[in-house]
Amino acid sequence: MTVELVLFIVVAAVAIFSAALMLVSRNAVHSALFLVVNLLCVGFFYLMLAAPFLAMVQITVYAGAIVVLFLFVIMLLGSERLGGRPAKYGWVASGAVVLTSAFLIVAFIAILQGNIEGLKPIEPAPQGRFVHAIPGAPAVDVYLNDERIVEKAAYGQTTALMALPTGERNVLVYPSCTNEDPAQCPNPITSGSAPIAAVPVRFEAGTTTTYIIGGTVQAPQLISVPTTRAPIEADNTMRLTVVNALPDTTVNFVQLNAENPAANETLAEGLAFGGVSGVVTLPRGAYEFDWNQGERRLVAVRGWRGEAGNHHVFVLMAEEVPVAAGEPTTRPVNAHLPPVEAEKAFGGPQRLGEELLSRYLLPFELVALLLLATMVGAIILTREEVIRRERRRLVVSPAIKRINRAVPIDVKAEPVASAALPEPDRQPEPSGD
Amino acid sequence: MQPPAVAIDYFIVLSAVLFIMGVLGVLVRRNAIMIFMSVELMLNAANLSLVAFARQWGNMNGQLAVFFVITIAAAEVAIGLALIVAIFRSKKSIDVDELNMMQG
Repeated sequence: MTVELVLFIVVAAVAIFSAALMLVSRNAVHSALFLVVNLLCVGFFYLMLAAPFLAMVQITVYAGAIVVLFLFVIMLLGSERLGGRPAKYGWVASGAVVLTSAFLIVAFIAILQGNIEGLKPIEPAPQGRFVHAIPGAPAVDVYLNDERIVEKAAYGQTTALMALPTGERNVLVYPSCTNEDPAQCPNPITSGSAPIAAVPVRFEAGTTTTYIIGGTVQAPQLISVPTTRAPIEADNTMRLTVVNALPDTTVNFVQLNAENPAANETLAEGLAFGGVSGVVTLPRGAYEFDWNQGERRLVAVRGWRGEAGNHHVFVLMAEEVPVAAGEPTTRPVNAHLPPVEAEKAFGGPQRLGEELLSRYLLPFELVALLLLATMVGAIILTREEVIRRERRRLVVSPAIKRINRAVPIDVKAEPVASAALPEPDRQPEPSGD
Repeated sequence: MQPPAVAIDYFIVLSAVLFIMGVLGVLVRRNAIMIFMSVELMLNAANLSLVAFARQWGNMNGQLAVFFVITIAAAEVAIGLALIVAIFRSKKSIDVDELNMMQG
């Protein structure tokens, strides 16, 4: 038995006992206090079930506001001591016990046969994005088997994150059709033209990956960079992954320390072409980095500021330069891809707030309106004059007055009039005012 | 997301038990305030099962439903208690057996 299970059993026992005591206690104030215990236990279960925000709401709104309202009304009405009079419908109690026990048995059977544990959640679809990093290559289209998912991605361009199918697919990269008229563009799959790259890739459910199409036109390579969207535990930190997409190099990625050059830290060592570093977690802020090949600095990154809660990806890749005699046609450059935002922690206030203000905005507004109406309604219901006016109307309503004025001469007709409106006559006027 | 440390079945069973106790309270007790408290108990039991399923499926929708239920429960209690106060003022009792003025 794990600690959690023991804790669950203890708190569940407290919850059930407090609910039972709430039902049987003769004093309404005691009942309200047992209700608080029960609500606190349920709040504890919310914490166990990864709903910390709801646990806090449970304690403040339920155990705080609602129960205080109950206690207030109980004491206002002076109805702590209950009962005394014999029940008019005593047989209801035994019938209720029998029926609810039957319902409980049915519920247990349904839970046992429902096999809740066996139901596995649907895995979220894999997500991915593509980066064109081949210098000198035309804009490309990317196909999964025979389905086009990326259209006309130019060099250096990063597509938005998109949902991908689960399972193994052939990733085919074709040069985009340059013709203005789309009807003139043949389908590269059916026309049998040669792709720039064709790589089988396995897409796993629940992952987020950045695919970098790097290398050269002659020897392209598809580099998969895992880009996690899992919630970041510590506040004010970010994730960083560095990728070497520069052919024929082995590089180090060094974080510079401005005050003390001896304390420079190598974040990734010996990254060959296509190499991907592990995920480094850094506090947010301004950083300076160097891409070094041996002792020689290839590229310097200066004045870069990383935002918290994001996964940043740095790619060392080649860039075309204007051709001059005797000069290389490309030079290394550092590309900072658009950061991938991490999801907020499950059950936390940020995640709940995001959902409330996006998908659930309309229900949220409606509930706000409902609360406003409730406020007005509660005030109107408890106003003293309203109650007094109601009472007066119950005794002498204008209709009765009119009938009385019309009828009194005809003595025989009187019982007819009172039979048509028996209620005001039979109802005794409430005593005390 | 990690599977829950305590199997969800236990939470659902507990929620069913608490719900039944709430139903029993509504049926057996005759004090209107006690009936309201039992209704709160039932709402809480339903909330517990919603949060448990939200955890099992790793989906926030259950928790949002609970958020709305809590809000509406607060509204319901405010109106309900205002009604009880109004009834008590006119009838000097909140025994539901005696509230039969609608029967004609």
